[in-house]
Order: sequence, then C-alpha cells, then structure tokens
Amino acid sequence: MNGEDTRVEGGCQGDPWADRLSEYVDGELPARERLAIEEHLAVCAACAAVAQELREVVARAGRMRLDSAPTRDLWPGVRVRLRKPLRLAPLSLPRAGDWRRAAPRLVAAAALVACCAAVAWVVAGRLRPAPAAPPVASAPGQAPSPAGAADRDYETTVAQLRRVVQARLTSDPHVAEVLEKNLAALDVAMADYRDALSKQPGDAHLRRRLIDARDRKLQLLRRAATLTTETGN
Amino acid sequence: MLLSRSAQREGDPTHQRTAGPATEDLGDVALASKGDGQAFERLYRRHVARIRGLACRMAGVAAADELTQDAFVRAWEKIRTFRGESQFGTWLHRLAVNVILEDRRGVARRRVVQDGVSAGVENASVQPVDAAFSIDFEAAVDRLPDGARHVFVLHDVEGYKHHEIAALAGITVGTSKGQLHRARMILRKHLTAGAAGRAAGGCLP
Repeated sequence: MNGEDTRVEGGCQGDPWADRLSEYVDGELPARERLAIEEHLAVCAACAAVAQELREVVARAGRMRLDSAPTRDLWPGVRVRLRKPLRLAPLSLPRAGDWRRAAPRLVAAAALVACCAAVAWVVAGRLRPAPAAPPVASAPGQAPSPAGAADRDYETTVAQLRRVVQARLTSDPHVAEVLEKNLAALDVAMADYRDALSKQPGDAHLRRRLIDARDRKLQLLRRAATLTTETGN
Repeated sequence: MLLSRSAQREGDPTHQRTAGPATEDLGDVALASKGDGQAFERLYRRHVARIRGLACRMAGVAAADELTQDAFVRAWEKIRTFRGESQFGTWLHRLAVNVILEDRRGVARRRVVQDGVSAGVENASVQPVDAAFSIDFEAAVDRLPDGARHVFVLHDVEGYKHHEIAALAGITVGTSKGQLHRARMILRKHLTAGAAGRAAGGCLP
C-alpha cells in the first residue's frame, strides 16, 4: 500500500455515491442509479468536481502511448529459446556378443574413465550459479566463453572423456555415432546460447540454459563412460 | 477517447491503430505454426513494441524486456492454438497479459515470503505518491499499487472490459471496478503535472 487516501476528499464524506463515480463516468450504472447520482451531483460541487477529474483521468489514459520499442534487440534472446527441446538419442548397451570381444580393452581404461568422470562432476559443480552472483562470467558484459580457469578445466575434461569413450567405442560404431550426434546437438545449442549471451550478457535465463547444456554434455559423456565400463565388467 | 479505444477493441483491441499488420500476420502465422522461425521473427518485429509497451505499463520498465521475451516464447509454444477467430495481435496481446499477470503473481508471492508479511502483496516497492511533488501522470501510473495499476492499464489504457479483466486476472468484476476507481482517484491528483510530457520513471522514450 502506498498510504494514499483514495477516497473522495474535500467534501461528501460518507457519501454512498463516492465509490461509484467511476462507474457513473463509464456509463455503467443502471438508469435508476444514474438518475439518483445525477441528482446528487447537481447539488454537490465536491462530487461533481471529482467526477470531472475522473473523466479527465480517463481521457489522459486514452492519450498514453501504447508502443514502447525496446532499446536493445530482444530477438536473439527469444530466438535461442524457440528451439525444440533437445531430444538426445538413448545410448544403449552393446549387444552381449559384442562387448565380450571388447572387454579386455574396456577393463584396462575403466579407472581412467572413472577419474575423468569425477573431475567432470567437480567442474560441473563449479559452473553452477552461485546464489547471488553470475556463475561464469566475472567481468561485466563478458559472456561465458572458454576463457576462465573453470572453462579451461571443463574443456580439458570433456576432451579427455571424449578420447577415452571414443577409444572404447571403436567396437560399437552405432553407439559411437549416436554419441557423436548427441554431442554435436549439444554443441550447436551451446554455441547458440553463447552467441545470444554475447548480445545479452545479463540474461539469467540464457545463462541457465548454457549451464544446463554443459551439464548435459558431461552427463552424456559420463553415461557413455558408464556404458563402456559396464561392458568391461 | 475511452469509447473510441473500446470501439477499436471490439474489432481488434490492439492493432487497428497500426496500419496493415493483420493481413501480413496471417501468412506468417501459418508458416510459424509449421515451425518457420523466420516467419515468427517477422511477427515478433511487427508486434514487439506493442507488447513491450504493455509490459512496461503493467510491470515497470525494469521487467519489461524479459517479460516481452517470455510472451513471445509462449506465443511460439502456443501458436498452433491460434484459430484465427480474432486478429493475431489481439490473441498475442491477451497471451502477453496472461504471461505478465502470472509473473506478477509470482513476484508478489516471493515478496510475501521474503517479507514475511501478507501486507506486502500489494506493490511493496511502490513509493508514496505525494501530489505536492507534482510527479508526471505517467510516473504516477507506474507507482500505483499492483492491483490498481493492472486494472487501470488494462481498462483505461488498453481498452479491456471489466469482465475480460476479471477473467484474465482471476478476480471478480466488482474487484476490477473497485481497483479501477482506486487508481483513478489516485491519478486525478496528478493530472496537471507533466501533462504535456513525461519525466521520471516513464516507460516510454
């Protein structure tokens, strides 16, 4: 509340018509009530003055401009949110006969994958937004890009995971292909978000989307790593 | 003036004052419904100023850009439900009102939780309006308590009817009328100040 008195001032306190003057001005009162209020206005200068002011408010409102063009282009921030939800193809386990042949190589690399996945988890955690501060970009106007230490860690971890997973998936080109398609879709999405963020660095929604896409990429790689680890067990 | 705006709204609440877009919209709506982003961008370009103007008046300039984007994203998601019974601009305007009011309700709820007082439901950020300082009429609109502001903007600025506002805002017709009267009673004190121009706090350039 703003503490302002919204009732009729300067006369007619307690007037039963005082709260209905807007309806009267708008022509929304039934005929009987309208006639009664007109009789009142004829003898009450205070209410008549208020009614006239209300008409002026209505007229003033009618002159208010309706359009307000944005001072910056809002379209990039809209466009990046129009993409259909990313539907990544499921990564399925290789058929039983396949993984048995690949098992020895997979076992050998299992420890390294687990290690990379752990690092990835830590990096992903670091990228999450802090409660009160922008999560990635530190300088004002700077979009999240592979610039900071966390970004470098992230890219390094992703590259390591990819190498490991790719090496193991040589025995299953189908899974490898699905993985690559999913990763490519995520990369396109992240590029879009970065591009939009470079134009609107303060857009929290875009920032969340970018972080989400990064997380999904790591999760995807971890999932692939888990698959290959499972096949090696 | 109000009558003329209301009359405009009977055919098209929001866009008859802008020449031409209705016909152009039809083709682009059809394309956008099939996923054509470029057609949707054209729709966006034609209507963005109108929707941002609404967001500005309803929610304030600070929230206007994000709400404008939210409204267009929602429009993209819902465009297949547009049946052509009204003009696209009318449909979009109503959808934007919904998006804005939903957001404002969320803001009000968060404010109550943060403040821990139910009295904070109304516009807690609003500053007391003192007619003695003669603030601009439009700045006074921006400073109205939320409920009164929403109804005033929708009714007196945008030309909606009380029953429409009641449906959109989830309130009764009586509440809508009461809030409108409340808003006007505040604003009548600011009629003389800045009537020719707009000073501090305005949404519009």
